Amino acid sequence: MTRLAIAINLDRCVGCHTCTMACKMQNNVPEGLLWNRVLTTNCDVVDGAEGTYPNVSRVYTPIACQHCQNAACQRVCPTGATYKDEKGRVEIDYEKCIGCRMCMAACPYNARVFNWQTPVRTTGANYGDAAVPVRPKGVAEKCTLCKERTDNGEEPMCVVCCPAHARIFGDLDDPDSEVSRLVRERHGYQMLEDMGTNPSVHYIG
Amino acid sequence: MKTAPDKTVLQSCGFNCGSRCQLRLHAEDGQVAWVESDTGPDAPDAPQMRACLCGRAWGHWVNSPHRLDYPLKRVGPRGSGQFQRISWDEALDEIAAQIKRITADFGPEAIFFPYASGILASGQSPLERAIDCYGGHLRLHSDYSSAQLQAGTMALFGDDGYYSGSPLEEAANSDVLVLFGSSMFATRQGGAAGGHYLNQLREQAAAEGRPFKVVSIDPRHTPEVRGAQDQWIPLRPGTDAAFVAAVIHELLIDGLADEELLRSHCVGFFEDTLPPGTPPHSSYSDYVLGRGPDGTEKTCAWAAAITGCPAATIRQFARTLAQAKSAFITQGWGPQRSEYGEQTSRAICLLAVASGHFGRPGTNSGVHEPMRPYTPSLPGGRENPVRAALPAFLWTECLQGGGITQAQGLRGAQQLPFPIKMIVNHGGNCLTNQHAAINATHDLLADESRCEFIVVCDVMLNDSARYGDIVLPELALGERENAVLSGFGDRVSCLRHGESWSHFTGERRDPWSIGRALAERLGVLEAFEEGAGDGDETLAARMASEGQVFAASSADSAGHTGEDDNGKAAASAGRADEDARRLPAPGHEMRALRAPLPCAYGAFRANPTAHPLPTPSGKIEVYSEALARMAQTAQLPDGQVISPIPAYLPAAEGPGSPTAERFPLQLITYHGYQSIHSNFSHLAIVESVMPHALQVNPVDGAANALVEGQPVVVENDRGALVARVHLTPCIMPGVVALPNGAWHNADMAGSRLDWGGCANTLTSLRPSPIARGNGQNSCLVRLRPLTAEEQAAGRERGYDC
Ligand code: SF4
Ligand code: SF4
Ligand code: SF4
Repeated sequence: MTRLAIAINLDRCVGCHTCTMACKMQNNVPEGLLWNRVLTTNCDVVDGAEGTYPNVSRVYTPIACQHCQNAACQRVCPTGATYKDEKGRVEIDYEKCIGCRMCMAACPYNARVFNWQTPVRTTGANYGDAAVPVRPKGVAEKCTLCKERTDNGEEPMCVVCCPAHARIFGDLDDPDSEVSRLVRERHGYQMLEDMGTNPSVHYIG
Repeated sequence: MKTAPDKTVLQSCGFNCGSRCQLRLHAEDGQVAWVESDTGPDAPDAPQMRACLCGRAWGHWVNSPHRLDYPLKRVGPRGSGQFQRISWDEALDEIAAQIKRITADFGPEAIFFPYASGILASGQSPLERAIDCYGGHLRLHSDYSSAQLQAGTMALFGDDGYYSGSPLEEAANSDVLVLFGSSMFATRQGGAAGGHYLNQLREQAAAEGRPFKVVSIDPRHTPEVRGAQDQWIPLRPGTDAAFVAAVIHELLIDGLADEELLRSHCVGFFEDTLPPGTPPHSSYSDYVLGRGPDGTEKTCAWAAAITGCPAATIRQFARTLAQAKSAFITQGWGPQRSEYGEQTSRAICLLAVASGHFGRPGTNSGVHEPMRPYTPSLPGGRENPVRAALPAFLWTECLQGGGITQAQGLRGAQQLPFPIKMIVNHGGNCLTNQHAAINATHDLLADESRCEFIVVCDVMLNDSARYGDIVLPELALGERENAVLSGFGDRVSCLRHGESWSHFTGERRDPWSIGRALAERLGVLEAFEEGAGDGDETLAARMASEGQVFAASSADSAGHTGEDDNGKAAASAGRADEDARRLPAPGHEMRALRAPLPCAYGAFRANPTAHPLPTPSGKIEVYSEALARMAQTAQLPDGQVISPIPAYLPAAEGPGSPTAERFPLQLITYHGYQSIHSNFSHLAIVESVMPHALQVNPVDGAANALVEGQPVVVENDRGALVARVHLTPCIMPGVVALPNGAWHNADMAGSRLDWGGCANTLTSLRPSPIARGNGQNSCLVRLRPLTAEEQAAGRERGYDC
């Protein structure tokens, strides 16, 4: 089996938001929506910090779809639009999506966004990779693990763009892959592990 | 589904950024659809030049609604932004006529090119070249980046500090990295820049079980402070010299200073090394030990009251330095961007010397890491015959006072007897946005009896461009064929041959052809083209001159290192690799690791007689006779002084100054991830990913009854702006911070309230005493809620408040 995954090394991430922007550009994510956000651990605001002045600490924590093996969104999707594919990615069939937003309510990671309106792009052009399908009004969308790139054997955009090399991509089912090794050796953990969703995205540090 | 992209075009993110990363553009139907960056080989010691979030948004930038498409002529009052489209011929004829008239009536010194770096990646402005060929223009000296540091290190070490520091690679031999107002991650954002390298240094040290501690001395907590071993020491802005004085005091009384070095290599640290004829008790040691004219001992308690940093923390930092094997002490350019930035920058450098962390492996001289190859000018043309040079920041003072003298910082001439009569602003935003005191500056610019004619040539209608009488639309670097030298702040150096691509460009022209058309009208075409030709010839000439810089600054295959000539060899260090002499074809680039640079002043430290510094004494001038003389003659703003030693001097707008009673908060700006100077700041897509916000400590938030995300007015006597509050413990109480570069956006005929949140609405025109540099970080403000009237006005503008 294949279980494509990303490990994010939080010791390296500096909160530069390059991955947020690059994801948006790669995947033609409409204005106002983000598939990939950079949060700070234990904070509910952008660029937050823990502790009180001057004893503060700040751990930047990028978060997008966790590609759960036991995906809450998939379980509640009434049409089968959300599915897990043969590479372990959780994907959406936009044709089947009826816009009920059950998945958004179910996702513990707040990873999904919704096209309430006809998607807006101020440049007037689709700015994403030509291979990425354009989503219409009324469908949910989220990180696809860069399906179009990973289908082609390329790494996801947020991985190749990261100036701090904080993200490592690979197959968790291959024990010799770099991502498996890192997760093993550096005790990678899953976000909200006790939710039982079993994400493929792991965090290190 | 969309159609497949027509073509992938190699280009550069060509701003005045230390990186100039690679972009690969996918043009579709004449539009940039998709922007990708470096996908070439990636190695730990030669990382890809990955673009940051700004470079990724380049497609939005190049298609921005603020792009200039046609030549414009002003039809409303100056600065009103009311323009009418005209033809290129009309525009160029008018500019040429004005150049001729003003040169004839006032002389070439009346024509001024304000500091502008938008054109930097293409070398010198061709407009400037054309005017140099005609009659010349007023020069400028220093810049807006590091004027005070340049003057400070010039006094101390005899060089301007741009090229003399140790490269960050030297920190591989350090156990402590001390950052004074420096964030590698935010300042240079590309993948080959220092931030990624700092991560590697940390990991390397951890893997080898070596200690590596980062101490960040900064009013803001920055991402460089990470692990338990790291330390954040917040100081009130502008008080670094007081902090340093107390640390040196501590080292001296404990016998932990490098007294031998301070005696053998320095002038005026101790009384017995003062130059002959100097008044007694003017040495730095007497200053800190309380034997100087002020009679105050610079104890930790003294510094604590000024800096806001507890005495125990200062003492403990002195221990950290004393116990360090090799501390790499560096500074960003924020601390020196203050009224007494010369004191700040030299004090930080002096700390490196006094602690002995200087001139030996693992150390630095206290300056910013050195720049690497820079874009050279094209050969030929004519040298500007004018000798007079204005400090970059002082053009408003010159406009205001109707002239300027040597005692005010003019160089190369005794005085200028008239104000600037013509401004040519090519690729810059320093008329308003990136200058200071925008409201006062607006009034000076709007008065047509002072400056009679303003030409702007730019890619965007930014706030400065609104002041043009004629505005010329330029093709952006990345939309034309070009030669770009990239990575001047990075570990790899690259020479890239960017390709042109077909898309809508209106009547935008490339800068060379604009300069050429002007030269033609000025009757100096032959001189203009000399050595550089036109079209392909010009590009070939540029490629050849950049190729030389590239080859000279790259490590050759044998890994030769640069000469150790007190670090000054930086720009020309290394021997050319034969391979590097080949020039890249369109759509191609060449990369090389840069030639290793030596540790700052290693040769001087080892043998000061054989390798003297370029100071008058050949030594480190802790006491500078040149500054002592300048103190006698300089004409300074009220209450300002020049000190020959790096003493702490309180700014007119600083903690404890009388103004602080009304405006109790210090405002600073920093290099945010969301812009490169003012580039990218105006894009909605950037704002949606990384919003601009005013950082406020929760203590000040509570005092002003502020909540997260609330819009607030930040004001002082110079103006008012609106910003959204971000409450964070990552900023010192008493200090508020804005990312630099936000676009000024105000009704200048009405309220002048700046809805864009441009910090320079509030900053001061008061120059620093030695460099006459921009001291924007010496700025006091207060916060207040928006009035009901302002809220209504804001809503009308679409501002959510
Ligand atoms: S690009 Fe990398 S360093 Fe920047 S926020 Fe994303 S994961 Fe963190
Ligand atoms: S994998 Fe692709 S879609 Fe998912 S967050 Fe990264 S860039 Fe975005
Ligand atoms: S702004 Fe600088 S770091 Fe960012 S992509 Fe452009 S050149 Fe690279």
